Amino acid sequence: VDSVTQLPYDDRWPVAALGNITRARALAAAMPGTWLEERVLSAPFEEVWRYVTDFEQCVPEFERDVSAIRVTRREGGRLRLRANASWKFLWLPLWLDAEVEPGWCLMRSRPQAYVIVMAAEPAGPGTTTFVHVEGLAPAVRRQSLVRPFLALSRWRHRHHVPQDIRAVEHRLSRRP
Amino acid sequence: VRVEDLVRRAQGGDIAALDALIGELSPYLGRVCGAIAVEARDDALQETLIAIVRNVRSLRQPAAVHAWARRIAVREAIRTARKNGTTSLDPTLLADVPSVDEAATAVEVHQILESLLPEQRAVLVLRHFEGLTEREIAEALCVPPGTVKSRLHRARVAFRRRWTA
Repeated sequence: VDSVTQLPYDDRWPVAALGNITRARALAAAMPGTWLEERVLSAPFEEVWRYVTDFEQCVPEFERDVSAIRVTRREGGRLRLRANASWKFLWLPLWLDAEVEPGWCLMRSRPQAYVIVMAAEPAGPGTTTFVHVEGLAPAVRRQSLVRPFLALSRWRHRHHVPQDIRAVEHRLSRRP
Repeated sequence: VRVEDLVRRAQGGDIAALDALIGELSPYLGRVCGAIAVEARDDALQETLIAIVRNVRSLRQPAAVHAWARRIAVREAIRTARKNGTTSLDPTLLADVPSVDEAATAVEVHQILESLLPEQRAVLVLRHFEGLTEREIAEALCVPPGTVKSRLHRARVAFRRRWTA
């Protein structure tokens, strides 16, 4: 029995694959200042993804903290964005780096303090699972230093992120 | 970019580096979770990645990230498989199951794995896919070497009966 043959590790063996939704859930677990919301939207994947990654035209429609966004640089899936906050935040400018691929978008402010993740996968015929993560995620080695801010950010985004998704749903339902 | 550099940047809170680290480790961890958790493999991979991102700051030796991540994957895969109740067969009953030859299909391989206990799948994976010694397996599973030896023996008997019968 000890001389059991080497087990063949080939494509017959079950392998767990990393999907965009799992990737977003895992990343959110590392960011205690963010809130994750997941919803199945009644629209096909391509339509959802085209809408939520149209940064200049569509994102200001559903992201109520932003009044305008301009893409200042584009290199394949890497984008640099200049966003202007809404009147509530005195139209302050915010620079963001975005990495975009089908079903996945990671945006970070420069320097990293604020993070937004959007992820999508087809759920069924004409429906899409959509995940939105947003909040404070400062790049500091000792998170204990910023813990009160993270708690506050999480509390605020607990309301903000579902509002964004409802706005996406609403806008998609009104598009021809 | 070397994986150690990704670990160091992730430990400093760089989310893009953490995302890249997840992408780098996932194919490997997906195989470990797949072979141990079988039907519950996607849940096992998710739980593994969540444990990794939550604890990456505590990893003292970034060069040891693969062994560290594998230990977490094995633990989470066993836990997820148990929670999902994917195994119930007693391996001693395996002599009675239909035989499978080398041309076994993916479905049959899944059936063989599911007929083992999660702990038995774990020792098989670590010994024969990863090439770990029994002492290394004992460290990875946090059990005495004698337990690894007996689990490995039972797993081999059970596996061979089904694989080569």
